[in-house]
Amino acid sequence: MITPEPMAKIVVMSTKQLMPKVVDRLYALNVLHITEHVKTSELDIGTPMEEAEKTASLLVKIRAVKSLMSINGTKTDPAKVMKSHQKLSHLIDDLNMHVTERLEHIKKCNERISSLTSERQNLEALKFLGLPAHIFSEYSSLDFILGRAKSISIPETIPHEISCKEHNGRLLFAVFFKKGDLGSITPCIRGFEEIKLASRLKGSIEQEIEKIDRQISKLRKDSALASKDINDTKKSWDVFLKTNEDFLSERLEKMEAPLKFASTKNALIASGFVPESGFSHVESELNRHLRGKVLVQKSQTKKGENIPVQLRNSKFVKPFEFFLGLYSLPSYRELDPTFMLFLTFPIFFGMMLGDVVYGIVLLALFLYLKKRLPAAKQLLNAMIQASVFTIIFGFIFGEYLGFEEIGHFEFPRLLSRVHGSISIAGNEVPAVLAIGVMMGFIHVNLGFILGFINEWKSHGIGKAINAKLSWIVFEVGLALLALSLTSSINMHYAVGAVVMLASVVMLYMGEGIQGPIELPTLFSSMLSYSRLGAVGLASVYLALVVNDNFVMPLIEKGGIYIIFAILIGTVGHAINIALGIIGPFLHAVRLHYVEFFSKFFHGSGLPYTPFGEKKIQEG
Amino acid sequence: MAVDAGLIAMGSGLAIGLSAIAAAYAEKGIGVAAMGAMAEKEELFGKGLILTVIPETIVIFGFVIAILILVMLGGA
Repeated sequence: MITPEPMAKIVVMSTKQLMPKVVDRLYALNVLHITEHVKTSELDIGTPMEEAEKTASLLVKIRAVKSLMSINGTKTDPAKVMKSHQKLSHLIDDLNMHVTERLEHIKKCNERISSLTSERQNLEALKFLGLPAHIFSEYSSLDFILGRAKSISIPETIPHEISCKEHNGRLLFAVFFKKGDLGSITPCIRGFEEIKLASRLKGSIEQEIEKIDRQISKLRKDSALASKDINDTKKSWDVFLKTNEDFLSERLEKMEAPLKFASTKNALIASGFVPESGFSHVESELNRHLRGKVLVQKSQTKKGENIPVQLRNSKFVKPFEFFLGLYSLPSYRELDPTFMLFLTFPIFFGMMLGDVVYGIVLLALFLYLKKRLPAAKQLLNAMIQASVFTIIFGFIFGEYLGFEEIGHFEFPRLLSRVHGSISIAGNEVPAVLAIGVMMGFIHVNLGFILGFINEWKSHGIGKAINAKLSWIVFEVGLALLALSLTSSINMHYAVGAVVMLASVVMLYMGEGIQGPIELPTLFSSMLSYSRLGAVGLASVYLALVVNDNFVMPLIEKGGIYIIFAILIGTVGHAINIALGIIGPFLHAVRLHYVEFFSKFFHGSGLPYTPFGEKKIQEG
Repeated sequence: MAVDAGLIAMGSGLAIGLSAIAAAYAEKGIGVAAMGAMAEKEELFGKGLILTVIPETIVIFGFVIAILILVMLGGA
């Protein structure tokens, strides 16, 4: 339908004691879009129900454990809901402790492994140096340093014993000297990096390395065991945690609902919107469940109140709501342009791509993708309709993979895109460009008519005539002027000029100075529709280049060249189809958003989000 | 005659080439800003895409003029 779902403003009032039941019922009904109450001097906002705080903290605990174990499953099982807060809290605490312990253990193991690995590397270096391990112990009169350096040059005057070897582009060395000489030795070493031995070496270096290897492998086993334990825990707790998280967040949403309500000392007042058609159901359901102890009534909407928008479109039109999702929802009092998108988007897309074979390929592709990507169902349904129009326009233009003829057989057609031309003022202009602009003329004027209706609904007929109809009056004036100047009609040219002037005055009255300033956009908008032909021509020429310059000459050569022809043809047309999805899609969308919507659409509607169970919306 | 044909072809080439440079230059700025906005808020993909292709009109006009030059003068 061309207007959004009619909404009724409703007010639900009950005592504070009964409110949990009312909220429960409203949640189950899943139709009320709650309008948040703003605190006034007479009416405060409600307070959350008891236990909301406890529920919230428990929910935080569950989410913390989930993120600790990186659980992100989506399966739930209603049988696993644990209603007792206390029990659940204990369980989660225990689980948290268990997992934290395991994680800590893994962290410790990893730290130890990395320190052992670096120790092992040092020992490997010593082994490379070829010195026995036992000499690196403490002496009463000797000192030593062990490390890597860029270069060393210790003067003979300082008594020392050095052993060094080149290792991985650096010098590996051990130098022994008299205790107390350290200060004079270090300046002689450039780029020094000390190797510290973790402990005094007891056995041989090989034995030490073996000992470290044993330790590392034990630690690795330990850490793997802990990881396995966490994984097992994850598997057994996954569904339980998700189920209880969902259950608690639902409860919390209900408990916190009064925050959006108005409250007096003893009563709570919830207000919001339900679809007009669902009002009586809500009223009777609430009254039945609360035995008449609740007041449900319709209320008048205030001027300028933000009413939520629920679009209502038939099965075929619905996919095009996707394009409004990308842009903006219409506001409640506006027309819903989805139906217009349904009418024109596939035509625009089809006209731009317009090739029977390309259309069939796209249709197959989108049908396949629809099965594989259920999330993008809406967009793909719209594109399937666009592909069908591509095939239809392919027949109109008589184009099959860019070929207009095979051998001497020319495909039947209504209009040739490449050769068809129209004579305008004595000049031959490609027919598709002219048709594009003509379609633009119709589309833009349709926009003005919709704008007229929108303005009429929201600001009255006077404003609608001045702001929107004036554009059409301007076009009529311009046509009269042009026709009288070219003597096509027998009329004084002043008539047209006066009509144009009148329209400019109307426009000024309707939209202020901005209106007349924007007049030239009328022409740029319509000319912009020449892309309907231009993008198509670009696509045809690309196909022609592939066919005439590569494929056909190779096929004429025959033999092995036919294989090359098929290869080049496939790649070339695949590229053209890929461009043919992106180009026509973006241009068709853009013509709607920029040229069409700017004539009538304001947008920024508030989406209708009923209070209740969050169901995944069907595309 | 050959010189005429060459000049017509150059005119047509300049019409599409220069307008393509202009469109690319305009899209550059918008594209950068759109990417920045998208990094902050992914839902802006749709709007970013639309805004980025708006200057495409320039190149469409250039293309139309190029074709008109070829068709109207090329045959003359």
